[in-house]
Amino acid sequence: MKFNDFVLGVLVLIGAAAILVSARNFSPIPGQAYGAETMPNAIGIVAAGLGIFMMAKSALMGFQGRAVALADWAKSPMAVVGVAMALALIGVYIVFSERVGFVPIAFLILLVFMLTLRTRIIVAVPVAIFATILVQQTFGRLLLVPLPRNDFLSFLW
Amino acid sequence: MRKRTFLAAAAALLATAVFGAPAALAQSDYPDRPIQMIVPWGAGGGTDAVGRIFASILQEELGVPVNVVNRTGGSGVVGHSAIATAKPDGYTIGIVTIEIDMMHWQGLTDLTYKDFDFLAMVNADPGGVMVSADSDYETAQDLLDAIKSEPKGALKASGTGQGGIWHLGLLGWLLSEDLPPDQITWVPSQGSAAGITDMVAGGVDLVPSSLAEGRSMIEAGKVRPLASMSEERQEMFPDVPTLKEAVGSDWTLAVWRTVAAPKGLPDDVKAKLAGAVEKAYNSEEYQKFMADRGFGMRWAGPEEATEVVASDDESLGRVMKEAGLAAE
Amino acid sequence: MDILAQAAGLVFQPYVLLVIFASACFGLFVGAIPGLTATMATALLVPITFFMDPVPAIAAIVTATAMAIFAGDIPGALLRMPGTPASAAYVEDAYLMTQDGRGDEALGAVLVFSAIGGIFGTIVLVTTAPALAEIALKFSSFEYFWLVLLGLSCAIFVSPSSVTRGMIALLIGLFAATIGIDNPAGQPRYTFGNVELLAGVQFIPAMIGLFAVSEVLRSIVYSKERPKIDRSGKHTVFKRQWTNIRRYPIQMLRGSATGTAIGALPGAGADIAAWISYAVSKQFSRQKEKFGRGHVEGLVEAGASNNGAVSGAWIPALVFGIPGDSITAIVIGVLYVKGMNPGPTVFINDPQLIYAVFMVFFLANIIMLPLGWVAIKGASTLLSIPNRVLMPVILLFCIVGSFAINNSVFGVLLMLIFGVLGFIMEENDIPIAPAILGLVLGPMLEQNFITSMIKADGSFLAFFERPIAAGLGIFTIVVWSIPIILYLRRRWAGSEASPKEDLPQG
Repeated sequence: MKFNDFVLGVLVLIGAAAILVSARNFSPIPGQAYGAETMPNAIGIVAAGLGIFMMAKSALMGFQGRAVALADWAKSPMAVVGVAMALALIGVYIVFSERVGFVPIAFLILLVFMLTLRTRIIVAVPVAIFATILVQQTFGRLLLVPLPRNDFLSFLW
Repeated sequence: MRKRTFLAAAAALLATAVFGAPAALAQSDYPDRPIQMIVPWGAGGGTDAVGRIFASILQEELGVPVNVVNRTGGSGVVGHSAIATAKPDGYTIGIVTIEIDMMHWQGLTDLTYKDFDFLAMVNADPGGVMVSADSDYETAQDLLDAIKSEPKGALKASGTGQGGIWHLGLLGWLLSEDLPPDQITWVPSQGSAAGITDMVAGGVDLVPSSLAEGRSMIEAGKVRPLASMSEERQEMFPDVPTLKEAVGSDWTLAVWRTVAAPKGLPDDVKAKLAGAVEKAYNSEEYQKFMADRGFGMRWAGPEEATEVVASDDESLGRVMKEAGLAAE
Repeated sequence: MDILAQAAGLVFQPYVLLVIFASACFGLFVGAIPGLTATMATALLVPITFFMDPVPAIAAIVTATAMAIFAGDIPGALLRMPGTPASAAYVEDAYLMTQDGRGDEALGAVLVFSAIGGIFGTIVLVTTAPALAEIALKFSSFEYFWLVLLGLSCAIFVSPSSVTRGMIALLIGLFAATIGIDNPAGQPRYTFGNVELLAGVQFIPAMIGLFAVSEVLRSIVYSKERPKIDRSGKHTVFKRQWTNIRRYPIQMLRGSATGTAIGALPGAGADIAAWISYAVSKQFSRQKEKFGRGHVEGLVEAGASNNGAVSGAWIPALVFGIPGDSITAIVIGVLYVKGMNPGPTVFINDPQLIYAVFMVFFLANIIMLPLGWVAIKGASTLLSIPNRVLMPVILLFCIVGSFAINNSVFGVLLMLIFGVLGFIMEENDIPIAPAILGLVLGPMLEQNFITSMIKADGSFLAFFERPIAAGLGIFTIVVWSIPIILYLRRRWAGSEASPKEDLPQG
């Protein structure tokens, strides 16, 4: 999604307002004039100024560009599916990795993502197996990262 | 050394490939797989150092890898929660620090020391009183006189964040002298190293952190230690009087580190772990490491450690309430 | 002379040299993977160093960190996924050079000038450490406040697209940095009662998201083919660097000196150094317009600067036992364990050990050249793997790297959020790098401002009362006013001049 300068300015101004409102929940350090609210306030004020400046400048220049334009790639189903799949697979890792364990989930992510990008299955399967084992061994064993484990396939641990 | 781990990894890979799953499926007694040791503070700090040396000795005692896992941030809440909420199966242990007695009073979490099974207290460092070497205060009495005579808030101190442990240490001292908690202005800092650096640069007047943390600057002649917040003088700083000797105050405070597990450890696992921890504490390696780093030794077994933690919880809670740092 | 001979005797032993070689390989590997940091490499080495003599123990850490910092530039140049915030300053130039088929030259420049910066920093460390450390100790929160503000300003001025868009990115980073409880007031902000959010937004997962994940997404939607590596010339990594040294000698020295000086300050590190150097380079360059479009000049200066800072961080560490960054914090601990207590006395009590450590510094920076060359050659083969195979594997590395930083899936969630954010920002021509800088420097800005105000009892004048603070403050104000004055003068001179400065380009 592409926004023109005016819409971007409006968005910045909305963000600034949200920050300034939320900063009212924070209080100064006891006995001091400054504290937790100082930084959000400063960011909010600068952002508000920036948003107004962008809107004014865009207005003076005659609102160049469409307010909201869809990027060209959004017309290609393959690209949309690819992006959605990449994000969904990260989500799958976040939700299931603790329950299923690292090895199966890493293999799944690699295989599904490669197939989505139209890698031939004869390439995708061995690459997925090899990369899973490589990552598991280097991070899990060599670098001692506590990757989620599960009794399933845990002999690789 | 990297080569060795690499070879080990390669060998292990080969072994699993050749012998496959059966080797791992054969059940044996605890522990039969790697143990995680969660450290709630960042790599490079004192707690991390204690955790890592302990892990490397425990590893030899227990015969399985003990991996240090740093879970940092949120004033220690994140890491302590990770220890407390892990499965109490002996495969997750951690270093629990004095902040566990503070965070629930601040209203940051419901977690208290009651959510842990303490295996041992393995280190304690008493607080201190340090000033810059250029300052006019030669003794703790000079400093106390100045604190009393100067207008409220004129003197500044630093060494931890707002409401951090050394802030409480200073407040406890002020309250024991019947001074109001805002007699000295607290300047929050990212840890005592930053506080001491700022003091030497002329930013603040005193730092009430442990003398061990100021050791290199004391030896470099940049920092003057005035007192130790302990009942007896510290072995490494025999010339520094206790607060009692210097100004007659009864206030003492030591930050400690304990090895702990989530509540509900099976008895046999707990016994095995506690035994291994005690052996590790008494090992020459640990004793030498702590002496070299200048960390204070303190041993307390499971029961005594729990008692110390509980009594500090009460006294810190009292100071925090009096100083208005506790959540309503 | 006798001491030097003794020191050489300690260093030039097969065992020590083997340790240096092995840790160099380890450092290269860790640094080249986004998400794995030099700090992590050091922490992993510590238990191993327990069993070593002092010299090999220090050698292992010095070598691994120097290599890791350089290696962070490799994924930056090849895939536009910088390994450290310090490499984020010039990632655009390095990546565009790779797309131009000059990837070897870009990486060669970073390699050679990293080594030069590191050696320069070491020479300063050897010759003037005690004096410099004394000056560094004079920096308090007032001075750091100005320095951080200066660093943040650079992000906007070097921004290749418009200034307003650079500002948006910076504000996004600064806002993200306010999340959590680790602020001077100790109040939880924007945490919504969530324990993980108390820790705030850690910059490594955020950086992986903003740069690497958004780049993975872009590679899907634009399915552009990555440039082929030129395999005709055999020595392209080093060939152009002689020319670069002769063409940019001042940039090289200025970068090394700035980096070393900033690194020597306990409260500032390689990231600010790289940004300031890149901005300085652009300001004084005769080819300003080429910056951010695949120009080597910024790489020379900022590349030298961030490795100079790594060496500089050792100055306060060795002289006063004050850590300049998390790496030296770990090293100070190791020094104590090895009985080489940092402080002025270490130069008197164990001069041969200190000189041995200095020699290790030189060796580490020299061995960087051949090993770095091998790493560059090896990594370049990545580019011959088609996107449809490479990107899924990179995504897995991103996930594991984000997980590893705090060993929690929360890191992966942060990465996902910032990945989407980065993708949207790029779609709208909002540069990513300033957001990273805001995220890294935001907490420092807040900390130093609040503590300064507390110390000064609320008086703004205190920011100008100390001599160094006043100097830095005036300099910052001048840096800010020059573009405004120039802009106004341009306006007056010809009000018809088209204000095209604000149009997104590139």
